[in-house]
Amino acid sequence: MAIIIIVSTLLLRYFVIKDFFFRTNKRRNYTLQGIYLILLGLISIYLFVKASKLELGFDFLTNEAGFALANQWLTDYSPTNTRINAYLTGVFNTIRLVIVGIALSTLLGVLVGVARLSSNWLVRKIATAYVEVIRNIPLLLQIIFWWSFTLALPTIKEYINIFDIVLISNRGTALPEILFFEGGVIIDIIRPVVTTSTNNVVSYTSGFVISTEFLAILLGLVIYTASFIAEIVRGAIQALPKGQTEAAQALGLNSFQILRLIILPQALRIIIPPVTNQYLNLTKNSSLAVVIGYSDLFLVSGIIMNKAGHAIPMFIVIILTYQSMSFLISIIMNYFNKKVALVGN
Amino acid sequence: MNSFIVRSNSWLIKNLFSSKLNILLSFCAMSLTIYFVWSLSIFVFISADWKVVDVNLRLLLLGPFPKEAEWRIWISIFWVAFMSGITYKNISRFQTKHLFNISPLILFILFLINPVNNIMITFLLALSLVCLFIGYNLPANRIFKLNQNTLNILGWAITLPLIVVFLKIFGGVETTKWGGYFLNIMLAWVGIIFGFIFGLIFAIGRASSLPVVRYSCTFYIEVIRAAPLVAWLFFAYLVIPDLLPDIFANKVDIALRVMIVLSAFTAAYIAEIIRGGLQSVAIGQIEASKALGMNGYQTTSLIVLPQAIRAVIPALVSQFIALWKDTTLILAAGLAFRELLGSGKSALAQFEFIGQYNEIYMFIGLLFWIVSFGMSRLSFSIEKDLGLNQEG
Repeated sequence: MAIIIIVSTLLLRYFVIKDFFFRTNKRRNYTLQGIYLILLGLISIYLFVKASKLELGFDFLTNEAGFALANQWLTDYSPTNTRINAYLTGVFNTIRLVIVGIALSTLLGVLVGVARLSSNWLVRKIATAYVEVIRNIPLLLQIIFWWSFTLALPTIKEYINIFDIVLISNRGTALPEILFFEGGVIIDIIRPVVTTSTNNVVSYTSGFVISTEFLAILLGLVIYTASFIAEIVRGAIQALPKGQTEAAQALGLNSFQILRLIILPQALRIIIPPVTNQYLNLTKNSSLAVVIGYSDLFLVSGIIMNKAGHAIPMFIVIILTYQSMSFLISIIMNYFNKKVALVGN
Repeated sequence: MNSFIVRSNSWLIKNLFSSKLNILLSFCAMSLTIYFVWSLSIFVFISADWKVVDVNLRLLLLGPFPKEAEWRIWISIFWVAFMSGITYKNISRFQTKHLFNISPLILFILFLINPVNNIMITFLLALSLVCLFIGYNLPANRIFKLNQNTLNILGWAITLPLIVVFLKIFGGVETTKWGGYFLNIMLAWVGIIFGFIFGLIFAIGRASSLPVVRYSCTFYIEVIRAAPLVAWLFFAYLVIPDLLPDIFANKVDIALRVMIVLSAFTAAYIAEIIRGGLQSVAIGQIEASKALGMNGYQTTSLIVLPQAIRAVIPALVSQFIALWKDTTLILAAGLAFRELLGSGKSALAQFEFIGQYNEIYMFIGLLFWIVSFGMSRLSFSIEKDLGLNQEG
């Protein structure tokens, strides 16, 4: 609707009013904006009247939730808690996914991006194939594929054991748990163990267990986002003048030193703004966790909407949550951007 | 012969074994490649049971589309092939390297012919190839007395309405019966066209000097970009019927709602991309056009926009590719609507094919990949033609 109005205002502005109605730009502009504002106001009033027949209050969030959530992190949630608690559990799950996802996809992305410019022909070709294949396949398909993959892992009775450090099964992946003393001193590392209890129930009894859903969505997000970050890194490195590398070679630095000390610090300036965009995309893409049942904020709000209705207020909450997460990421990345920017710019 | 060995040896030493680290890397990479290629070919040629794709091919490509109405789709394919022929002639004026751009299409057709073993379908595909060659060899510009470029733009502009007409005349097929790969193509096509048009309008609105227009466009763009597309699809499913006037509410079916959401969502992103292009146009250009006596409309449409859009073609195409991939999200939003991925999931739910997800997902991935890769190649060649590519 708003679009029609913009179009008609523009048309009006250019074809009718210009030579016919008002002679000065200022008066014409004010009038046009007035008309536009009135139309916008009418539409808002209409939408508001329509929406006011629906439920608009936020008090449904304080009711008892009444559903259980599989994944939890930092919160102590049970079905008797309020819906706000359920939603917060979802938010924390999303935050956990986003933090781990951003860290891993940056690592993999930089690695692949550098590999795309490697002097080694085979490494270069493998990196190119990775980027060209992964970038052009829908993320949702990849996530569903990884989910099927993790579900097809061996059962917990026949778990895969990698040097007693990582245990993999379709019940989740167990990593060693690191216990910290106050002040960040590592006091103990507990190895993951699978035990069979007296009534023949096999489960992980120690270690840090990553659930299957988390692993699947993480694999999907990281592998997908890394292919985009790799392209950004490659473009940034290629944009640097060749003289930088040559000068570093002339100084006798080896290729790793050139990369670490000369190329990457300079490329970082070009990399940060588009990579910030990719981080925001990753944050929004984390909502695809809904298809595999990882209880992120979108899944939880979907359950709440199914149980209680109230779609419009719930959507306002969702938009605000995603927006504040994006805002936070932007602030952090802008801080980094300022740190690496050229002095004087 | 001897010099060949010397040359290939020096190539190998330069590209694979130049230092100790490189030798190690080469061996790791080689073993990885051999392992991957080996297990992939074992899977594709030996262990995979492609019957699941063979049996469900119609479901995957067309979904619940009625069998007796298939001729509508074939006519659309003929028309698109005809137009492709005309366009191909236009873009390949002096160079044959553009053949590479439509090679994914030919590959795709070959792939389709192979598993089906249906004389009728092979015949119809051959007919569409004939249409392509007719389009290529027909002196259409002389018949219609039009410039080749105008003919192209005009032809592609009427293609989508024409396809909708093909699908709707003489009884027609309801949108709820659309499905499979065909549905993905239609959704992406509609999304790209309307997303681009409205994105252009919002970008101009955001750059407008009128504060009310500027702020309302900014508000729209920022709100749409705040939430993920899945959320918007879900929102459209739940809320749009309640907000529309009662006369329209029943007419806006799910397909239309999805198309509206995809277009509105893409428009916000495209507006941001074009805004970047608008900012890249030098202020001197606008001043010069004003000095020539052009009015605001002429300055925008003849001077600013062509330069702005030209500068952002790569970003625009990657947004279109993103939209193409995002058509799968209907599945995530839980809409009762079978696009390709949804059809694949329902094929996997059949009793005899349970657990054969590798085959299905590989086939679906290939279908998506072909179009995305073709689009990115096309954008690459456009960039090259326009001289945007500085890498050489």
